[in-house]
Amino acid sequence: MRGRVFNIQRFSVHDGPGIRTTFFFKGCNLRCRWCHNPESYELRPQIQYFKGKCIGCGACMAVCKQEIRIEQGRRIGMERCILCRACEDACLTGALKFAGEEYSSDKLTAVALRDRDYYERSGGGVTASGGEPLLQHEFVGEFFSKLKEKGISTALDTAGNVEFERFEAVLPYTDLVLLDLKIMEEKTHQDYTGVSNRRILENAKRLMDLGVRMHIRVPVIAGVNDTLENGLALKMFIDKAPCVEEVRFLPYHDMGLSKAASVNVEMDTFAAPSAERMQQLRDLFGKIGR
Amino acid sequence: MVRPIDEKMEKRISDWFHRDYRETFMERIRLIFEAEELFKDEGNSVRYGHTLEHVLRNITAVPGEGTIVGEVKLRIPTKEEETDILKVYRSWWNFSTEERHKKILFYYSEGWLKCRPYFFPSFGHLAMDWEAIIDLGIGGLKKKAQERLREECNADQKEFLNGAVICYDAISMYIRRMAEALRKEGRMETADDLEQIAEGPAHTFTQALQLIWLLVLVLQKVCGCGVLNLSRMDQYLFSRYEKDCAAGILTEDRAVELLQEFYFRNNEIMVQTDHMSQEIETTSYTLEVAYDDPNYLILGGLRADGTSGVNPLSFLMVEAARALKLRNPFLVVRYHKGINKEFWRYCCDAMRENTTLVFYNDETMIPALKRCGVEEPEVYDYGFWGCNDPNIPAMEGGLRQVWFNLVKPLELALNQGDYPMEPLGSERIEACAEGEALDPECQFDIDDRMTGLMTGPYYGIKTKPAEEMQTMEDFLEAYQQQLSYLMAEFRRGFELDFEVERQVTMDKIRIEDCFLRGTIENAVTWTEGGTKYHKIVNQGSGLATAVDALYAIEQICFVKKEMTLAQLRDVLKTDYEGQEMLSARWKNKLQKFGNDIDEVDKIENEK
Repeated sequence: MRGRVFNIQRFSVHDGPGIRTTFFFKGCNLRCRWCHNPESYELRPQIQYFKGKCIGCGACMAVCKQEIRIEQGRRIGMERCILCRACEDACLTGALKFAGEEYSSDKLTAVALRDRDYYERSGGGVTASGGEPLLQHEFVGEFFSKLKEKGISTALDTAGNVEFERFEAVLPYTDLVLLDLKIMEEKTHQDYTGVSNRRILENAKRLMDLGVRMHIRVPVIAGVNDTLENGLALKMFIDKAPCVEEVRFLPYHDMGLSKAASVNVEMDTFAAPSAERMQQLRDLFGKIGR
Repeated sequence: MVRPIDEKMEKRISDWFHRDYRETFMERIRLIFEAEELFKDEGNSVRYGHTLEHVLRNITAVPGEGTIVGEVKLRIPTKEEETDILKVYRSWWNFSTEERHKKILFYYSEGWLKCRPYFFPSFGHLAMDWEAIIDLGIGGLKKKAQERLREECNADQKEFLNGAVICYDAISMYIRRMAEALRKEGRMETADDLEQIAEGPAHTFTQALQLIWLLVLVLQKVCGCGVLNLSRMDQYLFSRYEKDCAAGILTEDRAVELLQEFYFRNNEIMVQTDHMSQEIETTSYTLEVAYDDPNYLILGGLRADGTSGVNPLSFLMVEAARALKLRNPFLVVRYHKGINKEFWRYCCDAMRENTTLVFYNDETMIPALKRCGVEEPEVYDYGFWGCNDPNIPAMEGGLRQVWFNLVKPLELALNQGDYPMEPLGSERIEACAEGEALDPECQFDIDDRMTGLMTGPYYGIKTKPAEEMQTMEDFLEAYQQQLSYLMAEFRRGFELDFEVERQVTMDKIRIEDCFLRGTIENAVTWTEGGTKYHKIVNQGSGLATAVDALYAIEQICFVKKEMTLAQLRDVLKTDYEGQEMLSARWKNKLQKFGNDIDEVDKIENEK
């Protein structure tokens, strides 16, 4: 079995406790309008084109058998792309980048093991993120089981919008679930992520009933979900479930915009919440608010 | 916890930051010029001692603010004075490198040499025997020299020891003058402390810091002996700290204040500049011997008995630096397995806040030093100064080094030992046997030996032509051969120098010789073997460039087989003329050293 990953980030300190290696899995079934990893949307591999790095040398066009060309800062004819990666190889500035390498679970385990000393010293481990890692649940389950055999701590960073059976394939090998609960009101959730939050909240409830160790993560976007109302609704929802160890509020940033452009995704621009509002949200949750 | 600095210290720091970079220790310069004439007919070491005495007798004794006293008087020279001073400086060194070598040995650069009197030289870059200094006092050290004089000595040794005695007396005299100045200001307690340490041992923590500071002031600002390793202060000051606290004459708060004063003094004698940047006005202007010499302070680490050196004073020394956030001292925290976790976190937090603090690892350093022949117990006291130079305090001398260009052997290996920019040519290569040197002269000429650089053309030994190298192992073998040859040439050069030095240096002294272990006992300067250890630092430079280049050769010629080694050699000889895209491609597409990529990093391990 092989998994499709678009990024491996070593020494991650914001994807779970301690120092971690985060594996970002391709494919997502949400379309959050503030997404900072839009290259994760498609499950299929893609070639990203970073206009800012392009020097217009034409080396990519010279080698492309599908006659894909660059015009006015856009790649034209990408529907013909056969992902041969000749353009990526020809590009000397890194303007073209393949997103979605396939790996065996043994290979990813070997990568993870390189930083074992850091995990042990810091209480860290491996995080499967994305995208939505549960769209490749069988592979993630296999990968996590190998990590557990090696004594490595595992964390699953998920938006939760999948059939619960997918959770069940991975949970036996998962030490911690990082669950995004972005917006509590259903219609607003639909408007901003493209999906209802009903299944997400049902899954969250099931995880709490099972006592699965969880950190709730909330990307906070000014004017969208930075309200105390949303915070209180979340508080009521988790209702002091003992397995919820932390509620972490993550302020919006715009670092996904250039990546969105690289895969021809139109992305909205938002604003970060004020520091004051962030603190108010954290304070709602007392000791577990971060 | 970090106790904040008080308003007075904040003002002192602010005033120092706003000081004009042209402010110069003019008194010293005038007195040095006088001394050149006054003592010109004396032997080398006695002349040195009398020069020091002349300066210390006549400069203004300026206690300055605070408890840790001792400053020098500064003013901005007139344009005319600048011109006259520079004229004298130029006359001091206006001769060949061979003659400079006889006068001063290794001198690193023109910038370093500029302000240094040939009759009063020191470059520092070492650690004094601080423990002996505070335990025995200047008078105790002088007594050792006098006792040695009464033993059998040749003429050079007598000269050396007589010079040392004059130096000790000069420093004691200066400290007494400072005490006198304090009495005039009504600062009796501090004056009493100085009277004690003028010749005697330091009894208290305050006296110890004071003695070390006054000595640093003389060493650095008068003699030009800077970039000092202050060694393991948390070890050798701890007993006094503990005793004074128990006796109720010192508190933690007060100890931190005193350390902050001591640290500030180390900064105060520096100009806000960088001595490596000769092109900037604040550096090129200087008329001083010492203007940008950080001092190093070693904390923590294992002791010879296997226990940890971390103690309460270790914390306070980090705290004092953390509050000040100045360049000096450069704290070196020695990590070891099992180090106190709280101390380790404290140091990490200090580093995160931009305190001048670095870590070294006893687990790798101590075995490495032992492999280089450093014995127990002194190996456990290792410290640092300067550009990453390990140092065995008090038991070795100062800087002598070469910045060894690790890419040079690669160039030679590609070209059968010939230097492609100034080739000796195929006839010369053909005339040599394999392994024979293409140029019989020592490859490190005296200019490069005296400055520690590799600027000249370098020729190697005849190795296989690129056409005959079938594997990367073949090429690495040629690289290793060229590397070994050049390192042997480096040694050959220093052996040539040593023969000359034996003729002209045995009766010379530098100020640090008064404060090292072995120099007084052997009655000879450290440069000629006075200390137990005598290190020449071989700084392997361009490591990443060399590994990247070797990896590139492996990939291009032996893995992907894009071209033969001979073809690659020819591309490089023309600097990619007509093939510039190749250069861009290899620069951007090939993996690089230092990114935890095994197939690249393995080359560094093999080397």
